[in-house]
Amino acid sequence: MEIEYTFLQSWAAVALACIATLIWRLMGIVFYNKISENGLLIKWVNSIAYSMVSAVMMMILIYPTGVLATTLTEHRVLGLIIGLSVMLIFKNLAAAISISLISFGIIVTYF
Amino acid sequence: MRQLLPIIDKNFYIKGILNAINVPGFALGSTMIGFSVIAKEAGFDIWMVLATTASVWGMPGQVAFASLYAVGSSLVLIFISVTLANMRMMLLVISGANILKINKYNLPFWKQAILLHLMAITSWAQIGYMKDKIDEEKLLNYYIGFSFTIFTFGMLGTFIGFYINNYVSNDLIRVFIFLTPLYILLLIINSKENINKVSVIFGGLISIILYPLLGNWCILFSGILGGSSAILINSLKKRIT
Repeated sequence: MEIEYTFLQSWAAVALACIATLIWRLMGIVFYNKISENGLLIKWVNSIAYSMVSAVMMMILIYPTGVLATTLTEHRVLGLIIGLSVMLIFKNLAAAISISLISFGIIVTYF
Repeated sequence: MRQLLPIIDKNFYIKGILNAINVPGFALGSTMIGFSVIAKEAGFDIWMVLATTASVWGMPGQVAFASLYAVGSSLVLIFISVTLANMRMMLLVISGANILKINKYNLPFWKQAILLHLMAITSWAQIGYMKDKIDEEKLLNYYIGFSFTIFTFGMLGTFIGFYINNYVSNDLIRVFIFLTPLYILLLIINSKENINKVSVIFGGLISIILYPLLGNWCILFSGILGGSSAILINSLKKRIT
C-alpha cells in the first residue's frame, strides 16, 4: 500500500532504517566477543565476508541502479579488466585505479 | 583526561587520515553523492539524507531505504527490507573486529559500538589490505584515523550530492561512482592470503549467476557459497600437502 508520509512518519522511517542497521552491528560485536579468535568459525565468517563484499561490488558493476546504469555493461567490465590487468602486471594499486578510471571515462564518453 | 577512543600511536592515526584523504575518501564521497541524488529524487530533505548516511552508514541499506521511500512503502516494509539489506553488517563487524583484535583493548561495549559503527565495506577492505603492512597493535590507531576521515568524506559527499546534480553532468558523476566498486575489488583481490582471493573470485562469479534468479538475496547466498567453497578448498589443499 502506498502512503504519503507526514513529517513524523518520514523521521520514523529514518529511525527505523537506523535501528535496522544497528541491530546487526551490535549482534556482530556480541558474537565476536563470544567466538574463538583463531578458530574455524572466524575463518569461515571472514571468507564469507570477502565473498559477500565481492558479490556486492559485482552487483554494482554488472547490475547497477542509478547513474551508473546509464553506462554499458561491456564498458564497466572492460574498465574492471583493465584495472585488474594493470594490478597484476605492475603490482601497483594507485596505477591500476588511475589507468582503469581514465580508460573507463574515455570509453563511456567516446564509444 | 581519559581518551574517548584508544589512540596510542598518533603516527598511525595520522597515516590512516592521510590514506583516507586519497582514493578511498573521494571514492566514498562520490558514492554518497550518488546516494544523495537518489534520495533527493525520492523526496528526502537535506536533514533526512544526512541523518540516513550518518546512522545507517552502509550503501545497500541506504539505497534500499530511499527506493522504498520513493514509492511510498509502509514503515514496516521499510524496516524489514533495510534489516535484510544490512544483514551482512554483522559478518563485516565480526570479521573487522577480529582483524583489529578489538578484544585486546578491553573496551566497554559502547566504545566498541562507536568504533564498529564506522565499519562499512571501505574501512573493512582497507584494514584487510593494511593488516599485513602495519603491526597488529598499531592497526586500531590506523583504523580510527581512516574510518573517521572516510565518514567525514561520506557526510560531505552526501551534503554536496544533494545540491550538485543541478550543476555537474551525469557523465562525470558516473565515472566517479565507478571508482568505489573498482577500488574495493582491487583491494580485496590483492589480499595476501590465497583463501581470501579464492573467496573474492567465487563470491563475485556466483553473484553474477545467481542475481537473475534470487535478486538481492544473491549477495547473501554468494557470500555463504563462495566463502564455504574457499574454506573447503583450503582444507583439502592442506590435507594433500
